[in-house]
Amino acid sequence: MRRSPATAAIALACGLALAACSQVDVPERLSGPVSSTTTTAAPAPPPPDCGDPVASLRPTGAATANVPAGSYMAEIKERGRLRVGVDVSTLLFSSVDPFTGEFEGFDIDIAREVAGALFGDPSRVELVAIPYSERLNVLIDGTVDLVSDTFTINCRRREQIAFSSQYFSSGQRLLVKSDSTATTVEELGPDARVCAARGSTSIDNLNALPEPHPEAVPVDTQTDCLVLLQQGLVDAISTDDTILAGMAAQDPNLSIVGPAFSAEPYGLGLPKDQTEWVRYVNAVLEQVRSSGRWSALYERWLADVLGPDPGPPQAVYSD
Amino acid sequence: MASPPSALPSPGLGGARLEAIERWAWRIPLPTRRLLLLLAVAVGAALVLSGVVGAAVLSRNSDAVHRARTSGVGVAQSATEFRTQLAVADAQAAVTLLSGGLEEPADRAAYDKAVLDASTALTAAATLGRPEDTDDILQLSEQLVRFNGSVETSRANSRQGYPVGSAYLSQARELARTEMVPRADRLRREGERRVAQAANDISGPVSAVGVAAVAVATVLLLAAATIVAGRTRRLVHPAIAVAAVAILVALAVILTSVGDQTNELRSAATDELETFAAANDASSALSNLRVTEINAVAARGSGDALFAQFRVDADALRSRLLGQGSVSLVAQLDSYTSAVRAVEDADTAGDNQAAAALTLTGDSGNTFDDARRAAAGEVAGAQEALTSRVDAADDASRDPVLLIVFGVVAAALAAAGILARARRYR
Repeated sequence: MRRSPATAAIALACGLALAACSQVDVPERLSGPVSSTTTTAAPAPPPPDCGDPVASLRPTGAATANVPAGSYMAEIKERGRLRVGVDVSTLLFSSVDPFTGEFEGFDIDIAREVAGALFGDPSRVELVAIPYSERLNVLIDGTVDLVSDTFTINCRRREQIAFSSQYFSSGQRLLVKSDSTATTVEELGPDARVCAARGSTSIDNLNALPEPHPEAVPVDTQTDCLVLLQQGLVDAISTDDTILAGMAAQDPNLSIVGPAFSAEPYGLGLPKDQTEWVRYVNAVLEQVRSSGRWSALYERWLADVLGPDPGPPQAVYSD
Repeated sequence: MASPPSALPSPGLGGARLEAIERWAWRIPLPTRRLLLLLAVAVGAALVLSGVVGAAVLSRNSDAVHRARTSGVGVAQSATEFRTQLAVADAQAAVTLLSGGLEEPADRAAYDKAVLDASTALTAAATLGRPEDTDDILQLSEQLVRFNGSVETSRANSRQGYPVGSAYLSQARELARTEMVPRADRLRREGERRVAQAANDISGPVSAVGVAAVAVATVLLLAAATIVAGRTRRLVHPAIAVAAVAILVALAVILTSVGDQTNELRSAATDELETFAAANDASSALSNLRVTEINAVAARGSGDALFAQFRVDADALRSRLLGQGSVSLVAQLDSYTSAVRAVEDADTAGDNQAAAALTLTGDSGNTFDDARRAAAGEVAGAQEALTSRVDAADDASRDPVLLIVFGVVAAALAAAGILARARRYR
């Protein structure tokens, strides 16, 4: 069949019209990103009763490098190093020197004392940085042998792990900007926002204050609180005065104010049901207290910011 | 009713066909002179009108290509470039974490350049974008300032040995991850959407109307030529034939222009833009791998999960690159992941210091730089291909005046040719 030019033109036009039917998929206009929001902490359930929470197992003798075969300590010695969970950002207690890359602080040295007793060499320690919220989990799953991380002893935690005897006494206080007139949580007022690390006792203590109390703002690490305070996103930080001292040392425009409104006894976190190991660590702490080593460590790390040596807390034993 | 002359001349070469045309032409119940006058007016008007309509369509399509180039491809490219440079800046800033704020001058310079390039990309997006992009661009601009401020604060604190430095770096990274990257991605997709929209506009009903107008005018002219041939018993009239050629050329011009523009833009929207985005995604993924590696080392002994994440992400990137046929980049990635395995081995063995040294100044850092350069090369190649494609769409644009000229010339010739025959009839 012959086709005239007009027919060809019509065919071309129809072809174009058909082509118009085969369109590229064009999505609707897209929505923007969703901003993240800060969550507030849920109120903590009432703590269980475990008697005297700071009471630990009595040492059975001096802590030496000769450990019973088949014991948890022997297991550690066989491995060749003590695994310790620590924080990277609590200045004076446990932080990394950015220039040397080495961990340093009071808690680090306490951990080294344990390694020194076990191996005769305080450097036989593997320091594992952990967030505050993971301190229980790393002991439960066996990632570390010990947590040395401004760890407050309390009954709720003792349901899941064991603690050494108390090796430091702290108390929860407030860190505010130096121009703030507030010296207590009450003076901050109910509209204030107070930051504390998620999973810490500080959050529980803030939520346990009589109503109306300031809003507790939980964050993953203590130093996140310092960032929020420096940026004016919270009005204060409330946690142990030991930790606040490390923060104040990083910013001269901040001050620790008011009396402690809680007692925070620090212990070394240990795996539950490892009684030999708990007694061994308590023996090490006894040596640290009695030898004057504790006071030496306090002088080295804390005396400048927390005042004169108060002496080590007395150990309390349950048996 | 008109009737054919009583004595017809004997048919020539096209005798049989001419007789058939004559029979058809004489069925029109109008005197020849009047019929030819009507045809001259109608065909002339149709040809001029088709030229004007075709020119309007060509002009509109040319504008659509321009918009696709600027607010489409331009915005998509700028947003993608911003995202890529942000990832580079993030990776460079992470070095601060390990070096105590005292990174090597080259690392510092690389960070500064990445931030500057990201800022430049935003400026380009602001220049090329539409008013509805303004909010996103302003937000990204403000967030880039905050990101840079957090990194600088991190660096300053780290230099004084303050742990809060790492918290500022985390804040910067969180801002980039949760706010800036999604917003830049959204802007990129908006640009891609506009290119696809432009391709659809060009191949849509308006273009079809333009083509149809020229085609109808062509058909009218050919029909008129047939009638004239039938009534005048002359198959070919030179002026009308030249007019037919002119309008057919006009039809070819508009058809090829619309077809080529549609094909090029459609290809740009579905192939080149995707390739460009994929190359940039690969570059960003590579930077993110570096951030994961550094974070794993900076976790000081508890980076197992991050090293595991690194392996998963590296495998995913490798598969994606193989799918894209980026063989050379896969080789570079393999070198980098091997180097990171050595870092992980050192860290797992408890020697975090050695792991940090390998990451900052050892094979890990060097192989990452090689891979990043290769990824940047692929991005540049994809960008060139995309630019070429849009250039081709632009090249397919035709001057609208052409259609008017062809239409007017065809109209004048056709009318003159028909009127010349009409003058022979009284």
